[in-house]
Amino acid sequence: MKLFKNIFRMIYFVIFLFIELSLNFLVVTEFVSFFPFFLLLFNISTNRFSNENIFPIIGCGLIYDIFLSEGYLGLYSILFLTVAVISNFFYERFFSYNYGIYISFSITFMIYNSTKIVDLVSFLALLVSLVINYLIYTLIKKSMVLNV
Amino acid sequence: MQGTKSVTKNNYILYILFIFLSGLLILVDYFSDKELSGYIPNQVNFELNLDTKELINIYNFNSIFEKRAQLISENIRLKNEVQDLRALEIENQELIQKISSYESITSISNYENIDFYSTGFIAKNLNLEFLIYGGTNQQLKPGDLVVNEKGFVIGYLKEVFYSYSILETPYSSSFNLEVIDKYNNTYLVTSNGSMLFISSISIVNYKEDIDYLFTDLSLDQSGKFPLLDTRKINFEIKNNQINATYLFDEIFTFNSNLFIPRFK
Repeated sequence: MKLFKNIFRMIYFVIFLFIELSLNFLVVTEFVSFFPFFLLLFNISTNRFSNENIFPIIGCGLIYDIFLSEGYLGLYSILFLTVAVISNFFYERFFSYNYGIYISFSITFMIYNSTKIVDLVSFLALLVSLVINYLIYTLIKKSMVLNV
Repeated sequence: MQGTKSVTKNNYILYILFIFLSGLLILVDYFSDKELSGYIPNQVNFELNLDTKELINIYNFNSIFEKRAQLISENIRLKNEVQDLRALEIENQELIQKISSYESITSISNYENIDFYSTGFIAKNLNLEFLIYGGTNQQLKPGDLVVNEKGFVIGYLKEVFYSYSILETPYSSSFNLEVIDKYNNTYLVTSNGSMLFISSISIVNYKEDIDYLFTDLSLDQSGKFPLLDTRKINFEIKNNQINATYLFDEIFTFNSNLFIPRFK
């Protein structure tokens, strides 16, 4: 049962990852990028951080490495796991501060996209995307609270 | 609250453990030359062999990822190509410079029996000595002359290591070199770091039109190369002793092409 749960979780993680990739593929401008998989990763790492997410995250990373990247196998697993750990760590640290969530979101967002920073323009583009994605994150959060 | 924190800590440990495991995977993939990451993409065929027209949309959806993957790989390939071309361009420029410097050095005089080992600066040590490429691996030895692309001596090797050597130049106060003029008078050239002092050792036949001071084979040096153009230097003759001083400017820069003459 646990195995099925893990597989199911991995599938929906992968779906989020593919949605992210296809969305960014369709968006023409480089200054606007959407990161639903990152939002999912940040959300589960801050709200439901547990060992049960390790295998789905690793699986996601491996699938990305095998089919969608030129890098070595395991590279994106490390990135995703690191993002998950750091998200939780900073969230716990900064939660009580003003803008604490925004700081932890920004840090993990930059780590998540560290491979994309090649020059100043790409960095600025990521800053724009950071604001957009943070807005999306807060919107989702608020809607989730309202639903509850 | 304490319990939650310890659970989080345990989670961190497990996460970090799996980060290391993924790192291990990278190592295995690296040493297997991407056999591991390339195995599944080489085996699996993602093309859908279904004829139903309803699946065209799925195929299109599928092709989006294929196109993206192709674009990524094409982008990477192009990036690598640009980097390779840039490296080639730099190499080409260096070779052109080298050829022109070789041309200039071979056009100075007849050095048929001499091979020129091309070298360059590595660094300057705290003793104002220069480290240059080439050492015992290139059969260099202490005392070997170092000339610039115009054929002028800029120093000699003080110490020779396996792949690099220390060059003694007039910038160093311990510089001293025996030279000769065209009338076979011998001189000792020393330096204080900014000025060269020329004093005669033995005078056979002194005339004012000596023009250049050379190194020479008779002084156990590796060839006849000019050290100084004496036409602008005023020599003082006193008691059969010739002395002169010469304030030198920039003898070379870090971009200078250096050569070490060796017998063939």
